Parts: sequence; structure tokens; C-alpha cells
Amino acid sequence: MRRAEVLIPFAIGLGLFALTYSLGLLNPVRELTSLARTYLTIIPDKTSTYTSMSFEVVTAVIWDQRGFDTFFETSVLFLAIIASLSLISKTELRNIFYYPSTPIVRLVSRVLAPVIIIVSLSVAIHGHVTPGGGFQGGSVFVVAPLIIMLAFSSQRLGTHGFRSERFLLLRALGVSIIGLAGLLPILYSNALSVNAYLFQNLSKPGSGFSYPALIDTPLFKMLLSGSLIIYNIAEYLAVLTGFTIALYYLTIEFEKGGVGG
Amino acid sequence: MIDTILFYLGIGLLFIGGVMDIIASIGFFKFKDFYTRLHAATVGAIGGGFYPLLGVALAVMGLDVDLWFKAVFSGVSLITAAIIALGVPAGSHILARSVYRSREVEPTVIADRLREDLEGGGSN
Repeated sequence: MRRAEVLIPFAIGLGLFALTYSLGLLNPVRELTSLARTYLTIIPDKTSTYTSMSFEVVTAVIWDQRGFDTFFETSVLFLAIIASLSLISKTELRNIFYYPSTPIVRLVSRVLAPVIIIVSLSVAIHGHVTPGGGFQGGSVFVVAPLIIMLAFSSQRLGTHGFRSERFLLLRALGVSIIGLAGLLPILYSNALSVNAYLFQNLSKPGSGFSYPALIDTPLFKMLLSGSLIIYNIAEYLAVLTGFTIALYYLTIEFEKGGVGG
Repeated sequence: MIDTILFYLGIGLLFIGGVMDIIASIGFFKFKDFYTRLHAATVGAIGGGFYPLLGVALAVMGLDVDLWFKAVFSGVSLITAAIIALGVPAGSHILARSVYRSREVEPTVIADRLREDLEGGGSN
């Protein structure tokens, strides 16, 4: 092994250490900024008037405090998928010659795909309590169709109920649910003449609309965190369908030899 | 008594996992060939991922906490360990197979009977 092979990583590591250490010295008082302290204390606090009733501050900020912004992010992804589908959807599916993978890979991917789907569901639906959320759950889900397509072929997804039109419909449904759930406070305020604003979650002083935050029955308790669970499930639906369709068409191009040459 | 044994067994498995990870990273840099480097990477994934997760599951069972806490933590660890134990061998298998078949890297061996069989048989 040459000396440079050891010296260069060592120098990079030493430089990183010096940088982080000097950054720590710049701000010796380890205090949160006032905005961070406000968010971290108010959002999980049930007694506060500005609470989101959610233990997961990141999900609450994404869908409650800046929900309008996140809606447009989802719409941009939706339009990007639509645009790319309009470019490649005219492809012919015949004459695809495909080598199936080995039995080891086929068996393991058949066993692991349902496990991945269940994990993604738990990440998405539990997103207002534990780290995770709709986008993260949807991204985890996409691994399952991807390994199925790589182990068998892109046509294998059809036997599990995949149709690209059906998934596109589900994707439109997810984005529509997000938009409607954000628009519902305005409709409510027009109908009952109370104050409300776009993408409102729980009731605030001077604004009366509120989604149900906690189902409290003698038998069981269930934390809904208002609109957070609705947005998480709708975003999960939108992200998983969009990425699955995109990867499906990319895999078809790959099988035809369009990508690999 | 059984709690202490479980806890120290788990800590021991965690330690073995750390040692395996160090060995795998040294091997990954020292080996010259693709196939031997793949072997080192798989040692790191199984030894540094599977054994520590088993260790976490055992150590949590030995702690003095609520039963639901033990069940959730050790259950998640065991499921993740099972996923790693299933997925890593399949992944390294398909990597080595595809690289061998596409002739991207030729293994440095004296006799290669598999290549002779593949070329003699005429399939693939």
C-alpha cells in the first residue's frame, strides 16, 4: 500500500475533525434558537392553544405549519410523473426477451416483498407518532415492486393487480384528497360563517375549525392529530403510485435494451 | 440471574459485530480482486449487521423494563436481523453471478471449470 493511500484519508479525517471542533468552539453556549424552542415545546404540548397534538414535530411542521408548501411539492412530483409518462407511454411491449433470475433471488424477493409493504404501511400510518410519514413510507414501498421486477420481469407485476392506469387513478386520488382536506376549512367557514384558513388543522384563537385530534372511547384511545393522519395516508398513496409507475416504465425500457445499450 | 446472562450475551454479540465490521473494512481495502472484496463486504453485512441486532434483542430482554418495551424492541430487532440474513446472501450471490457471466471481472484462478462448462454447453 502506498503512503498516499493512507495519508490522504487521514488528512481528510483530521480536517473534518478540526472543522467540527472549531465550529463547536464558535458557539460554546449550546442553546436552541427561539423558533426551534417554540416549535419543540408547543407542538407536542396538549394544553397549549397552538398545539398540533402530535409527538412527531417534523411531520407536524410539514403538514400543519407549512402544509400549503408541501401540497405544491406533491403537485410538482405529480406533474413530473404525468409529463414523463406522456413521453414514454407509446412503447410497444412485444418482443421483449428476458433472462429470468436465479431461484435464490426469486425466492428471497417473493418472501421479502410483503414484509417491505407492511413496514412501509407502518411507517406511513404511524407517521404522526414516530419518525416517518407519507413520503418516507411511500419511498419504502417502492422497493417491493422494484425487487419483484428485477427478479422476475416487469410483466410479473400484472399478476399482483398492477395496471398503470389504475395506479395513475390512485395517484390522482391521493393528490385530490390532500387538496380537498386543505380546502375543507374554507368550505366549512363559508357554510357556517366562522373563521378558518387554508390547510388549517386544529382550532386556533379566532379560528373555529378543527379536525378530530383524539378519539377517546372507554374501550380504546386513538391519536389522530387532526388532519396529519389524512395527509400522511394520502401522500403515501400518491408517492407509492407515482414512483411505482416511473420505475415500471424505466424497467420496460431497460428490458428492451434502451438504457443499457 | 438469567437477565444478567442475557444482557452480557447481548453485549458480547454487539462487541463481536464491531470487531467483524473492522475486519471487513480492513479486508475491503486490502483485497485486490472483486470477488474477494465482495466476500469482505458480506462479512461486514452479516457479521456487522446480523449479530449486533441479535445482541440488541437479547440485551433488551435482560433489561429491567416493561414487558411491552421488551417485546417491541426485541421483536423489531429480530425481524430486521431475519431480513438481513435473507437479503444479504441473495444480493451478494446475484452480484457475483452477474459480474462473472458478463465477464466484467475475470477471477484470478488456475482452473475455471464453470467457464469451460458454460462455453462448452453453449447455453447463456
